[in-house]
Amino acid sequence: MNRTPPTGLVYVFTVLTAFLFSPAGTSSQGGSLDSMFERANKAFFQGELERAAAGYDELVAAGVRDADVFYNQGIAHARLGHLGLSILAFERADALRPGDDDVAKALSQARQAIGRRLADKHGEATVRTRPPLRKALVRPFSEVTLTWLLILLNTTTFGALIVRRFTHADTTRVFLGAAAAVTAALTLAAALALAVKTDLGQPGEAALVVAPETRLHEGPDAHAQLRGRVGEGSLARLLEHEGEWSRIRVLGGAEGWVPRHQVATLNPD
Amino acid sequence: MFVGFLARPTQRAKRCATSTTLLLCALLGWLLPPAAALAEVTVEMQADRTEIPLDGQVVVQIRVTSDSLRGAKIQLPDFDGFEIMRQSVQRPMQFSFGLGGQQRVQSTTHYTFVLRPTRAGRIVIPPVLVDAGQRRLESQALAIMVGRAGQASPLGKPPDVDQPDPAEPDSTESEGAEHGDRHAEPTGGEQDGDAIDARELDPDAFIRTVVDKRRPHEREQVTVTIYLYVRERLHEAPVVETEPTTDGFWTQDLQQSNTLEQRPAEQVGRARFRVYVMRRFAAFPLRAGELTIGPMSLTIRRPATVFQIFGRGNGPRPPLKRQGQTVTLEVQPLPEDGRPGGEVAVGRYAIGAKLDRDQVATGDAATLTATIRGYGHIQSVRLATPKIEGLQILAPETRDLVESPDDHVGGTRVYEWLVVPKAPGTYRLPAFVVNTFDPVHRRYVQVKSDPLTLTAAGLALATETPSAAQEDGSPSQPDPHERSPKGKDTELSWGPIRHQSELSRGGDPARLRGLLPWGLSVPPLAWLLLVGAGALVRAQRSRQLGHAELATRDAKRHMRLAADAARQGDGTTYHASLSSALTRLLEARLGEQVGSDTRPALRRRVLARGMDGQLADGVIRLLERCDEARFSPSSASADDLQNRHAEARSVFERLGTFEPTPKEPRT
Repeated sequence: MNRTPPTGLVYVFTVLTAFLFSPAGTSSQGGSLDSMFERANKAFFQGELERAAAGYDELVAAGVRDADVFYNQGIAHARLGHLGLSILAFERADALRPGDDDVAKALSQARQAIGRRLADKHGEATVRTRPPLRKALVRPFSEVTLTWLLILLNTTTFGALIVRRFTHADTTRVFLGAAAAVTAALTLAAALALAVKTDLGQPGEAALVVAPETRLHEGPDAHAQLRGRVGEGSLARLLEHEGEWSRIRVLGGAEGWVPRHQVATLNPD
Repeated sequence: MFVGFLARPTQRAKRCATSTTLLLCALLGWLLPPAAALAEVTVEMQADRTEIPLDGQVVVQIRVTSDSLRGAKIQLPDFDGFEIMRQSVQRPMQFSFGLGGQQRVQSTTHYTFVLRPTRAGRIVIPPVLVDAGQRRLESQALAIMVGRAGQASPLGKPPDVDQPDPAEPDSTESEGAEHGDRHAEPTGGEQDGDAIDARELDPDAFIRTVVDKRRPHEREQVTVTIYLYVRERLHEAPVVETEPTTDGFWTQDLQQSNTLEQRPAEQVGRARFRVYVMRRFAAFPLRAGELTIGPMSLTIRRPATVFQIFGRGNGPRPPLKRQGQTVTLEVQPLPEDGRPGGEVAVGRYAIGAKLDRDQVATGDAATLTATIRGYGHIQSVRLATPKIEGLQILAPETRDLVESPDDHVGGTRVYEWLVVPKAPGTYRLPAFVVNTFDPVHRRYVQVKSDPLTLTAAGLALATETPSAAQEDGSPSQPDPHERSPKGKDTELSWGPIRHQSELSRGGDPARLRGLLPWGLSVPPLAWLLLVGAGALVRAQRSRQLGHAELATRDAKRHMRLAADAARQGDGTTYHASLSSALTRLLEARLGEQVGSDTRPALRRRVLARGMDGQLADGVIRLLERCDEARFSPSSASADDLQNRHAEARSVFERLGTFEPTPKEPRT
């Protein structure tokens, strides 16, 4: 008598095996990240701020894009006095999780601290602590949220139009037409918000000056003519790289070259 | 015979006429002055001084000379940075008579401006532009150094150097040159004792090299001028084949314009030469011993002359190739007598130092600036970074401004240090000292700045370790991790960190951006596809089915809509749909449009096509009822409507089986 195993059992066995031996099924990476996070937190509590900041930096370098990690990283750097780096971390956390009160408060505090530092040095200082109005309007939404919203509204608009073609009842047709018009308007609004959020049309990439008193040179050379100085934590657009130098444009339109390590993009990737 | 000669000229007459015409053209071309393009136009701009205080005045004179009757368009420079106090213009005309009694006119326009500067610093007056037909000329630009009010010069008084004027060579030397006698004077002689004047005379063109000092000290400026002497007018700039070599020198170009600078013509022997300045530069010998400045070689292209039209050698004449002389300088070392130890800068300098503030918080930075200005090889002057206990002084940043007023190279060199006190207290920054050798007075001079004081307040930095300033003098980029002053920032109440995190790696907007184009494009594409497909299907169906069949289907669709409306008690929709259904079915059966017929006309039409009277009356009655309901709507219940619809359906079915007789043709 020839017995064959049931097909369903074979299928379940195959799926389980694939899951257990697949990279996603292993937990070594997750465990490693957890331990790195714990080590960094422990160092922070023990007052070893340099080690804590280095631990959070490692997590980011390992590909972690988590608002909590960025927040901790910002706090560690702020307490070390690295206000530019702390603002960078807080901006990243805010981009991932807008509306987080702790992040917003810490970001504002870091910018005020830079303002005080500059005022102590130069007698007076002006630091932008609030975003422009258009940015403030879209601030409650993350880029991910706006992207999904745009896709959803767009799909709804055309879905309503498609269903309307198969509907004979006039009342339903009128309702679907109105719904398509409303969702089309919302789609446009979402697209506009996303454009503002991502600085569509702006050259280069959003970046932040992380070093104090960064010098803007006319060319990618330390001996090049000095064009001015940029304050720590200033928002800028990163236009290009050449060797160890980056060309940036700061608010107000001034452009120049700065050492590459003195500026970082808001997008960690 | 005579008539025949006129009507058919002989070959000899033809040749004669052609030759005469050519000869006349050639004579005209020779006698007439060249076209406007070749007209003699010169433009010159000069100032009575190049250094003035802010409250002083400078007189700028512009002279444009043209031998063209049409004159030239003169575009004066914009005296930006100056206020015009007075201005005048003179246009004297000079008449002369050329060969063959032809009148030549030379016009000169002479502008005079008295200017007062409105700001300090180096102000450049751009060149004067002259448009003379096909030629465009420009003068040299002028650079005026403006110092502060009451200050004689931003660089101090220029060195008292007797500069020989190379534009006026010693006439006694030139007398030996015979026109047409090549190599009449093999090598140039010396002038003014210490100057060098090297040239090899030639009847057509030669290069003359003039160096103002034969035995300079090391790092002392010598001025080198290379002239081109030519008999003919240059129609284009000569092509420089090789530049003079200056190995062992640091050089600074003194020519302020890219255009060929022309000097007044000179008589050399029996011939008159046009003089052009090819190169003019300052050279600083960097070491003692014999140093040479290599010869310049160039090629002068010459256009064809009028005589070549008749000769065999059509086209331009062979170019002239000329090479200058090698000049050797005996560079003297700096005198040992009284020489101070360490590095000595050659030139005349002054030095100043300042702090941007004299009180800072501990850990904060102040900027220390030292400025050296004067005449000489300014870029060779170095200042050592001061080392002071308790102060962290970062590597300096240097800026140079090299200028050459009156052909004396000088300028300003600025050193800038960031000074960070590591502990509170009062720090004394000693004076900067530079040992210099004044080549004019041949003596050593020590210049120094004033000492400065910096006071630091606040708590000492606990763990900061100073980073040593780079010894090589290259500016370093501040490391934010080391430079950020701690203290106040750490004292702020930063929120507590978070203990838990999902350690999420997703949610990356960049990845989602890749999805966005698909999410935005797929729904509209699907909708467009659907609309297009529907249109295609309808078109296909209309091709396959006849008009009658389509009308019947349409009638049935309206009948279904009427049934739905009857169930819902919607009288308006019901009667509208029923009317459409009956009309469409009638049109389908009859094969002609009936929509515009009145009811009696419709009755006559259907009877004429063979419909029995009972059916025709039923159809007309239903249509009239629909018209009445449409124009005077009355409330009817769903039951009433469904009863009416049962009757209408019976008529509709009978109408569907009606076979009309063929339509009678119109007579």
